[in-house]
Amino acid sequence: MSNQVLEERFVPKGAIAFFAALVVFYAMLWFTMYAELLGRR
Amino acid sequence: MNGLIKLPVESGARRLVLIEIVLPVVLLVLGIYAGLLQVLFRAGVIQAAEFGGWEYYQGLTLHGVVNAVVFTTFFAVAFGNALVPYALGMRLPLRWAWVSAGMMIAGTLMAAWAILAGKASVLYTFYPPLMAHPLFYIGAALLIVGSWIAFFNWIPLYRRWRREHPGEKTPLAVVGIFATFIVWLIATIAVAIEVVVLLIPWSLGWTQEVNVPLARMLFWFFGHPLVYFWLLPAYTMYYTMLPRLAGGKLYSDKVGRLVFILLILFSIPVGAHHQYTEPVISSSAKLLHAFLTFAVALPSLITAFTLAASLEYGARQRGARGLFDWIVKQPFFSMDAWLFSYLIAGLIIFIMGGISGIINASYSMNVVVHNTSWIPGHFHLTVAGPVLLAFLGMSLHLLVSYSGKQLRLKRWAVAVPYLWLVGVFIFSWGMMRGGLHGEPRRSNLGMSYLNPDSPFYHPEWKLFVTVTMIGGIIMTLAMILYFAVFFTTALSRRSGEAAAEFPLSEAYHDEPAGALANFRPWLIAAVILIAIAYTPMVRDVLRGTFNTAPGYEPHNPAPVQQMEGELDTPTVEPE
Repeated sequence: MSNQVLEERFVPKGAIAFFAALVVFYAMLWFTMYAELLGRR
Repeated sequence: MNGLIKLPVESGARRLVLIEIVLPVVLLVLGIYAGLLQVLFRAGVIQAAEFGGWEYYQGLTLHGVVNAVVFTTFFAVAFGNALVPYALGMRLPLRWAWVSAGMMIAGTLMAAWAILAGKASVLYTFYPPLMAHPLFYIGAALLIVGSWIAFFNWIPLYRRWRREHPGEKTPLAVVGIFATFIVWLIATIAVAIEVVVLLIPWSLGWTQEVNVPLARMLFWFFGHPLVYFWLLPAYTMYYTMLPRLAGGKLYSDKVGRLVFILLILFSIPVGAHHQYTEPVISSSAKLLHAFLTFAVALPSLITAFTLAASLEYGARQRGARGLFDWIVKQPFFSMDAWLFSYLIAGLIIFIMGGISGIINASYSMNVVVHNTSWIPGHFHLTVAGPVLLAFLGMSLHLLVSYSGKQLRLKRWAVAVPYLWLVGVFIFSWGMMRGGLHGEPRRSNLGMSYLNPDSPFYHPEWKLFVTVTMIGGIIMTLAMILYFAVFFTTALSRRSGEAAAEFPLSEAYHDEPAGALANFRPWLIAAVILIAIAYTPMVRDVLRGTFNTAPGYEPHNPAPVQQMEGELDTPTVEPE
């Protein structure tokens, strides 16, 4: 893909995928801690 | 980097910025040494109350005050003194800039004397009833007021620029710096009240006792936005420079402005999430602050996406394909764009700093980690991650451009952030895992829990403190490399003309600023939000039925005034 075409058509699919992965990762860690909290009842 | 716009800098401004950069880096040598001692104390390598003439809490105070307050405040002012005139194409008015620097230096020397003399071992939060020498508080006040003056000195420049450029957007770099200092100004008003009204009269003996929850509430009104005062200059670099260093463009200029405005709105009314176990504050006030703390995570999540899109754009121009190829096609080890390594390593660290912060903010979950070593494990992933690395990288950049010297030991300079990244991840893993197992923060573990001769010996924590120590030693090695690069460069011969130059990025989507063009409506909204969040807390603290407290020092269970004979000692009549 030439730079000019990229300039016109750039859609950050990689950034969207990265952000989705980040949210899933964050949710996993948060719920791990939540389980730790529940385990201390 | 090639192709940067260079602007000449007059010699006064050059000297000013260099002093504001070099002095805190010199102090940072002490701060880093104090940090190394901390991990050795906590790991039980040093099993004593002091080492090398420094008592444990004295060293911990020095570590926190120098690294987290002095270095960061000087850097933010120096960065603003360099970047605001550059982005506006104007000269920095020097008279008030020197007044500001003079006050900050005088204040730092006062506070440093008090700490080094062992008269202010109150940690960087200076919570009463721990009491410091009056010069510690007066020095802190001078440092803060000096930084205000630096900000006030930029406002006429900004106004003149707006008059001369009607209809133009304020440069994003200026928006970032102004957001930094707007947050700082509002937040420091509370700590100024704490210091001037409560702590200085108390430490001078004019008042005998202090309202501890009120002082703590005022501190955390300041203490959490302090984190954003640290982060906002780093965000300014991320939005305005990182995309260009990566060979791309900022994905959206307007999103950058939105993030800075959101941080002005939400970074202040969140202090109670540091006080979830404070009995005098009602649960409803704490819950409101919990929700607002989640709101302040929003701009950071927006930033994660926007910066990823900006980096992806640059990588795709260099041929990256697929969903994740752009991540590995970054100039991680570029000698030309060496500043990139500091910014990207900080961002990688911040991925873990962000989620651990969200966990801290979660009201009930906070109880699992409160006052454990998890907390310093977390904040080393923020203030000692993106903040420190961005500040170290930009300090080097300013040193090089404002002195007209070449960066020396360039390979070491590029290695520093990655070595630090490895060290801080190991360090924080040890601290955070230990915290989940109940390891306390702010404790000389070598004297107690990690000393096999102590009745409190707690061998379960041995692994965690040892891992923490290994991480801390790697971090220290990274800083030794950094100091070698910094001072070798500073002491080398000048090789060109000194000039201001910053790798400012273009925007891929360069939208009109719209409703984000002016600070004023957002400032009003921020003040309203603060009033909503803090009115119930102030009411709770003023209605509380607790006693006020006399001053204490960390190594003595008796009040300071009682030791000095100024407080009546209760006597027990013999039966």
